[in-house]
Amino acid sequence: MKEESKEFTPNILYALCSWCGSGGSETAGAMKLHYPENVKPVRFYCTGGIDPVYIFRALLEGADGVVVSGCHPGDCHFDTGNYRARRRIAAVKTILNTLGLDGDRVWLRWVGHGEGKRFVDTASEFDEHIQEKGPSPLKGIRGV
Amino acid sequence: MKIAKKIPGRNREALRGLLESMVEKGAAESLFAAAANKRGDSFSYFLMKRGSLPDTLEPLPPIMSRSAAGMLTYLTRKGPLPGKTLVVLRPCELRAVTELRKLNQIHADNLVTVSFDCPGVFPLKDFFKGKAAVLIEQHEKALSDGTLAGARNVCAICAEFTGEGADIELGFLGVPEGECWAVANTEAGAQCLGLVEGEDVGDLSSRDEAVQAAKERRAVERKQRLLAFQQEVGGPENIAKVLENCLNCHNCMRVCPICFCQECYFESSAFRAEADRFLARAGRKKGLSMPADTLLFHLGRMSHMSVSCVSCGACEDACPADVPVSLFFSLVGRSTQGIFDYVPGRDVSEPVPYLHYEREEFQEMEAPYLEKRGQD
Amino acid sequence: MERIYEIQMGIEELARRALETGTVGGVAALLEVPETNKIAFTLVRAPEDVKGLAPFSPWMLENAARSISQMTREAAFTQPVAVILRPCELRALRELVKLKQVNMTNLILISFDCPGVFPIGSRLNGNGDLPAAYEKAVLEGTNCPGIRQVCSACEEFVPRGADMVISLVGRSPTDTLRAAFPTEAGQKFAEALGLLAEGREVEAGEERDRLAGIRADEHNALSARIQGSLKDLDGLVSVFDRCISCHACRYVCPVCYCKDCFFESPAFSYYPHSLHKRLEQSAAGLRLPLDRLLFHLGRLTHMGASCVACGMCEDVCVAGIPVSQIFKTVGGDIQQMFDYLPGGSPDDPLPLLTYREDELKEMED
Ligand code: SF4
Ligand code: SF4
Ligand code: SF4
Ligand code: SF4
Ligand code: SF4
Repeated sequence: MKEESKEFTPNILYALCSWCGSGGSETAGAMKLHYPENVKPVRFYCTGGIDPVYIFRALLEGADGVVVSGCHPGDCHFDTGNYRARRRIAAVKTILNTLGLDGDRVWLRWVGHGEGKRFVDTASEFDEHIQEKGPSPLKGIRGV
Repeated sequence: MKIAKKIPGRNREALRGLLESMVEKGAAESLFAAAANKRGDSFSYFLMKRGSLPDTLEPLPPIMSRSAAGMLTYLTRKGPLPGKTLVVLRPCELRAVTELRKLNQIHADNLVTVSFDCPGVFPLKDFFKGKAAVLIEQHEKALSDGTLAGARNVCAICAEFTGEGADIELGFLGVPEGECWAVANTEAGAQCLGLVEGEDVGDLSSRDEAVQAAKERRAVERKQRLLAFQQEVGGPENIAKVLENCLNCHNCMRVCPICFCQECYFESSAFRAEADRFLARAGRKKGLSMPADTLLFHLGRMSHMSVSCVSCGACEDACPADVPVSLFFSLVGRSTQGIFDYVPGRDVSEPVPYLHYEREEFQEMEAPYLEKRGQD
Repeated sequence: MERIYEIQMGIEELARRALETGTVGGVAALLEVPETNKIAFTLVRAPEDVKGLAPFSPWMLENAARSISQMTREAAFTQPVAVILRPCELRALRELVKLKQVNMTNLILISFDCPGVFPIGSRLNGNGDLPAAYEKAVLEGTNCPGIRQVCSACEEFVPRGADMVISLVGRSPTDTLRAAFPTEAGQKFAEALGLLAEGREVEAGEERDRLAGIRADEHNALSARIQGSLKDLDGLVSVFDRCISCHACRYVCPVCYCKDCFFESPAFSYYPHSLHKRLEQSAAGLRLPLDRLLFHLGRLTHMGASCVACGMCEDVCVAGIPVSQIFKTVGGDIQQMFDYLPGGSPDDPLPLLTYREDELKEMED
C-alpha cells in the first residue's frame, strides 16, 4: 500500500496572495530553491478573496489537495484579508470534516515576502502529506 | 416591564383575537401575518391594514409555504415600512429575520414582532396531498401538547421553538386549556400588549417548566438525529447517494431566507465555458452528469450561509426531489456555527462570523511550521 | 418514404463503437450511474464510460436542451458529439438555436419516437411495477398509465430534424435497434459505423399510428379540461392559488433561457412606500410576494409561443399546479394563432420576433 502511494504524484494547488505568498515564491526563486513540479501555484490578489467555492471546485475537479499562503497576521496588505481567509478556511475544513471528506487536504500557512525557504518547505511538506494520503476520492465521485 | 396577560380562546382563536384587538386599539397600522388563500386550502403571508383585517386571517397555519423572513426582505430591503407593523413569525423565521437584519437585508424599524410556541408544521407536499381540515385540527391539538406527528424533519428536532426573542411571545405550552398567555419581552411589546384587556398572569412557572422540559428533550433528539444523519451521509459515496435525486434546480437556494444574494454565484457566468471544456471534464470525471456541479453547489452554499442557517426547513419543502436538504444544512450548520461559537438569530448585536475577525484566533487551523528541513 | 434499417447492436454498443472508432468525440445521453441510483443526462468521452447508457429509460430529470445550451452557448464542440434526445428536448433545442442559445455545429442529433416519461415524483416513491407496465405499453403502442399528463397528450412524439431516428414504439427492449437516417449527417454517421452495410431495411410498424390516435384524443381531452378550469379570471386565480412563487417552473424550463428573469429583476423590487400605497388601495391586503399571477401570465406571453410541452415545469412544482398542461394548452393556442410549431422547421421565424403590417387584423377592435 505504502509502496503504491509512493508512485502517486498528487495534483496540488498552491493558492498565494499577490503580496506575501507570491513574494515568498519570488524570494525562493532568487535563492534558487526548488519545490515539486506537481505543486501548481495560483495567484490571488489577497487570500481574503479566496471564496471557499474555489477550494471545493479545485478538489472536485481534480486537485488532491489545496494549500493557501498569505501574509502573516498583522502584515495583510488590506489589513484583515488574511483573517477573513483563516475564518473561511476554518469553515471549509469544518464542512469537509463534518461530511467525512477529509478537511486535512486543505492547509493554511502564512508565508512572508522574504520567506523563500518557508515557501518551498511548505510546498514539499504538503506534497508529502498528500502523497501519504493518496489520491483524493472527491475528484472521482460520479454523478454529482 | 415584563407583562403577561391571559388571552381567552383556544390557541389559534386566541392569537387571532389578540392580533385583531391590538390592531383595532391602534397598536399598529398594519399587520403582517399568514392568511388563507382564495380556495381556503393553502396559506400565504399577507400585509394587511388596520380596519380591514380579512376573515381569512390564519396566523398559525399548519404549513410554512415560504419563510416570512424572505417576505420581510422582499418588503423592507429598500427601507423600513412607513407605518408601525405587527409581524407574526415562527421562531425560526424570527431567527432568520435577526440574521437578515445583521446582513442589512431587513429594515426592522417600525416592526413589532410576535412569535409563539411552535409545534412545527407539516411538509408542504404532505399537506397538499392530505385533507386540509383534518390536518388543521391535528395541528391545533399539537399547539397545546407541543408535538406534531408527521412534522417536517427540522421541526421534529427543533429545540428553539419558543418566541422568546420576539417583542410579544405567545405561550401555549403548560398553559391551562382554553386560554393562552401573551408575554411582552420588550418595551415595544409592552406598549402594544398594554392596549388589550386581559387578566394578568401572576405565575408563569407552569409554562416555564413545560418549555424547559421540552427544550431539553428536543436538544437531545436534535443531537441524536443529526449524528445519525452524519453517519448516513459521511464519506464520498454516501454523499453521492444522498444527492442522487438532486436535480440541481437551485430551488432550495431560491426559497432560503438566508440566501439573499440577488445574483447567486452558482448561476453566474463562472459556470459558463466552451463546449470542449465540458468534454474534457467528461473525460476526467468518467462522464459528466448534467446539470453539472451539484455537489459543488451544495458545498458552496454551505460555506456561504450555513453559519446563519436557522433550520427553518424552507429548502426541503421546496425541493421537488425530496432531498433532505434542511437536515444536510442543519448538520453542517451545527459544525460551522460551533467553531465560531455562534447561534444564528440569538442576538442582533452579535456579528455574523464572516464579517468579523480577530488577530489571535483559529491558530489551530493553520498548518504548524516546524522548519524540519532546516535541521537536516 | 423513410428507410428503416435493422441494426445488430444495442444503443450502448453503438455509442461505444462510435467513440472507439473516433466517429464522434463524445456522446451525451441519459445514463444510469452504476454506483448510485442516479440517472442523469451525461456527457461521456471515453468508450468505457458509456456503461449504463439508458436513453430510453422513462425519466426526464431535466430537459437536456438546457444542458446542451449550457455546453455550447460560449463555443461549439470542435469535434462531432452525438446527443440522444427525446423529441420534446430536440424541439426545445431547435427553438434555442433560433434564440441563439445553442450552437449546433458538430452535434449529431439522435432521437426516437417517444412513449413518454413518468413524473419525477413517481421515481422517488420507488419504481415498483412501472418498468414492466411501461415495456408492455411501448410494445403495444399505448399510453402507459402513470406517465406525465403532457406526455400522454403529446402528439409530437415522433422527432423532426434528427440525424438518426430510432424506432421505439412497437419494439421490446430485447429487440435489435431499428433506425432511420433521414439527413446527410445521419447517413455519414451510419456509414462510418458500417450500420447501413450490416443492417437490412424493414417496414415501419403500425403501433406508432395507434399511439398517435390515442394521443390525439388525449390532447383534446386535456385541452378541454384546462380550458374549462381557466375559463375566467376566477378560474386562473384558483388554478394558481397554491403557488408559492418559487419560480422553479421557469428555472427548469428549457425555453426560459433569460439569464436575468424580468420577474426577478429590480422592476419587481418595490420601495416600501409604494407597497404601502398599494396596501391602501387593496381591500383584503397584499398577498406576498406580489405579482404571482403576473409572473405566470408574463411567462405565458414571453415563451408560450415556444413552449414544447416537455412537462418539466409541472414536475418540479411542489404546489402540484398543472403548469405544463396550462402552458401546453395556452401556448398551443398562441402557436395555432401564428401557425407556428416550436422546434419545427428552422426556417419558421419566431412569431414574436417577426411582424407584418397586414396580420392579426382580427385582434384589433
Ligand atoms: S449560495 Fe452563496 S452566492 Fe448563492 S445565494 Fe446563497 S450565499 Fe449567495
Ligand atoms: S438552508 Fe434551509 S433550513 Fe437553513 S435557513 Fe436556508 S432554507 Fe432554512
Ligand atoms: S436539493 Fe432539491 S431543491 Fe435543491 S437543487 Fe437539489 S433538487 Fe433542487
Ligand atoms: S413551480 Fe409551482 S409553486 Fe413554484 S412558481 Fe411555479 S407554479 Fe408557482
Ligand atoms: S413551459 Fe413547461 S412544458 Fe413548456 S417548455 Fe417550459 S418547462 Fe416545458
